[in-house]
Amino acid sequence: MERKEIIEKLTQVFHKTFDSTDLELTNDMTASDVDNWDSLTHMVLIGDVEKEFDIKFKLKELNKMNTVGHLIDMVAVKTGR
Amino acid sequence: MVFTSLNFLLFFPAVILLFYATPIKFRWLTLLVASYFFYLNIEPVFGLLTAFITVSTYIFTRLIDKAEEDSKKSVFMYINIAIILLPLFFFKYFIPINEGIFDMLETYDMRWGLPRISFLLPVGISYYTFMAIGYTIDVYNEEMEAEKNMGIVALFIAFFPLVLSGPIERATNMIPQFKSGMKLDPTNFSPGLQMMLWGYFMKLVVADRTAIYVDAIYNNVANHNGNSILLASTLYPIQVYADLGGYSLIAIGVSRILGLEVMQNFNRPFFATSMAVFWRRWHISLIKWLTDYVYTPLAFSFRTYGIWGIVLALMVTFILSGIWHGATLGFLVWGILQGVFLSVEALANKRRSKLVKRFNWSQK
Repeated sequence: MERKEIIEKLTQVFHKTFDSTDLELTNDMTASDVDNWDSLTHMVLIGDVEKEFDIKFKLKELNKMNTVGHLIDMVAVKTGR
Repeated sequence: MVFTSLNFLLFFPAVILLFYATPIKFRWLTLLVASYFFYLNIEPVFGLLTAFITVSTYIFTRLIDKAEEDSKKSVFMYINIAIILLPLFFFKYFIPINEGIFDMLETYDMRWGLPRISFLLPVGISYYTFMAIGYTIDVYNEEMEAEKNMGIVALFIAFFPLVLSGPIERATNMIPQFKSGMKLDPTNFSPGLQMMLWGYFMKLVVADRTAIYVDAIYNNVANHNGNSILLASTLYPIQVYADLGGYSLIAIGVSRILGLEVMQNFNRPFFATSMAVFWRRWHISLIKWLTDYVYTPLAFSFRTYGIWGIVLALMVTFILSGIWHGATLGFLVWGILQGVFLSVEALANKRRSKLVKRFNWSQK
């Protein structure tokens, strides 16, 4: 999948999960930059991302994702099959 | 010997001198010897337990690294966790549960002549057991390679500042520090001693004095009025904070003097603005451990259930936290309560943040 397309769809998922209409994703964005994004909501977000792109993450991969940029990269790899 | 004993005030300077006299390459060995001396001083038999956990963890972490397939790796991980947990379950839970069963039978006037076994509970077992389990899981998750030097593993598990009551540290933090050659840096002495002094104040002056009143009330609840019980219950969190917080501060200060960075364990918990924030500021090392090794894997497994998966993961995590503290009904109920509090906060999250935005409240 094209990176631009991924970012578009991902933005929608973020809007829905964090109940915000104006969030814009950047590569360096982390959980501390977004209201409501903490360890409690993180898994909900991951579940929603998996559903949206029809992919599955491994727990080991989650630990290595520190920024939204990493997340986009991971999604790109998993949908590139 | 505990931190607040006179013996420790002799022991610690002796350790510093020995530490200084040892070539940097072998300082870990000095600390290992000192740590076992410290622990055996409490009860020689306890050393068998730490040695047993060390050997098992060393073997299985190396096996995890050497195994090729993930299925083999996870088998080794689970075996080691089970081996390590066996003594913990036995000492901490089997005996109280056994006693509980006897007591319950007695209320029905059934007195069995079965032997009631009583063993000495190895001090610190809850702490270094968790540290060993964390190390095992970290090796499986490829956060670090299994340490090849069993002496370093032994030091990680028995390190005397942490062995009695934490902070529950990570192998990823401690083992590299043990190996990089510890320097005695004079700029660490002042902060380390300050932390120790403050910790001693919290423990000896605040906690131990408050305990006099609180214990008197709690040990005799039926004979005290509501005022006293209310006051005792209000003082008790302060007592516990001063006790564990003070002790942790001494541990962190001692480590600092030896040139080692140990994680903060408390962060002004009573200034937290929600229970979720509170649990990031109280007994930080325990909660971090539970979050990384229990909550996150559970929440990950339950993620298809949305917010209710989170609730389930929270309940399991906090019930575990409750019974980690002790094998009583009180602790179990306490754990359930914490799970309920956090679940309510998680479920009400969106509505609460709308309120926060409307009235411009700060939520740090």
